Amino acid sequence: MSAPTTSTDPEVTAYARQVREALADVPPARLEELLEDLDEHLVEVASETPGPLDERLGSPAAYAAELRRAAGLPEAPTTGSGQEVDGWRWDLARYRARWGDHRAVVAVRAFLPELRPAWWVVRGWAAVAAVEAVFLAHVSLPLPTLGLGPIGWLATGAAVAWSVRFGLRARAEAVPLTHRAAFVNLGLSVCVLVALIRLADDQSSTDYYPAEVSYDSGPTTLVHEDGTPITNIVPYGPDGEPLTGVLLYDQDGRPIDNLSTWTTDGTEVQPQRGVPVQPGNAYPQRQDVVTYDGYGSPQTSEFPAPATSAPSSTPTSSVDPTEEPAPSPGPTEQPAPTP
Amino acid sequence: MDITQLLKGVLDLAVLAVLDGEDGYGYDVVRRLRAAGLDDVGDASVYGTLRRLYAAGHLTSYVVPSVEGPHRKYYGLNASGRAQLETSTKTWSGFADTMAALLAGEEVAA
Repeated sequence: MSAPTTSTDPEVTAYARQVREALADVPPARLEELLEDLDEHLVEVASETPGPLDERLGSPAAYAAELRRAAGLPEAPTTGSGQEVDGWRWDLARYRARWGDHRAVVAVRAFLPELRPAWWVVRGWAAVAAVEAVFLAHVSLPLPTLGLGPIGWLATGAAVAWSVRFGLRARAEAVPLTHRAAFVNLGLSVCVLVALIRLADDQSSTDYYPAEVSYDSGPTTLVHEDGTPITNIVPYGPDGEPLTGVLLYDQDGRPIDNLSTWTTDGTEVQPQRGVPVQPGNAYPQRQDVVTYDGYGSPQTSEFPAPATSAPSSTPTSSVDPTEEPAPSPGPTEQPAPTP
Repeated sequence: MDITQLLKGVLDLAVLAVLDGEDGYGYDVVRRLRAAGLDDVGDASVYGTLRRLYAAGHLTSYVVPSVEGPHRKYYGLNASGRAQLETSTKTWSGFADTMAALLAGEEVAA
């Protein structure tokens, strides 16, 4: 529970817990006040008398009732009928009555206070991390920097140190848990949550980012709607004749030269280098198509297939007519466009 | 006659009286009451009474750290507590005298 339990005697702990349970209807602030001395008392009695606490003090319920009367608190509501005292408090009390004495529960409860120092560190860190998460939409590990570099580290270190110091002092003075402290800790728990959510978010975006980068900012090449890469464009005139050296531009006059350099089956397609120089947006592009045979050796072929006959169309100014290939639909490695 | 029933009415006074001599922590008060002859005083009654007197503003309290056990919360009388002790003592004395006279009278009559 919330009151500092300095005793590690399981009998004292169990007795104190049962007394608390019997007083579950008392408002928490009043209860803390009332039970401030409980641990001290039980430890004193336990150290003084050899027998069980029940023998010396009566049952925890009787102790609670006596305490209640002497302190001038109203009698406990009759818990005989569950319908009268309804709601989550009652449910909670019932579950605690059933499971509270289970060995595992007792062990965990005894162990939890040991973890307090860890919480002091975490809450100090979280206070700064949450600020960073909210204002910078990012949490840097292991120390939040607040975007200030080493100054941020110092701030985090100071927050953690102050939190631990505060915790140690509160523990040393056995200050009972006040409403204010409970709310501050609750607020810091929310900070932890905020920081963790932001961390998880950061984590998942770094997981996905590489893939996004390659799609978003990598060179985008032409593809069909179904994802098939477009490695070349073979224009035909209105008369059905293949055209060569056609320069393509977009609506803004920017040359369209972003052909894919890979086909779906992994064949590499590179524009031919050499003379004559072809503009990147002159179509069809003269290309070297590199395939790999069964032994992994590259086999280079040209696309469009080199013309064996005389060029059939007039090349553009920058292209030497004699070198200009004449695309002829039909050969195996060339797509057969239907204009 | 059940002493616990009688104690209920005068425990405030008894606790105030014990603390008037010297400040004490909860269990210390229990011990002092027992030593004074109130063997039947309930531990929880004393603690509850201390809390109630404290809440009513009759007591001051301070924590004394202890090396071997839990920290002890000491209680002492403040001005309000001493005033309360004084009036309660008068009330009690008057009541006790009345009762004594009454019982003495009955004895004579019997």
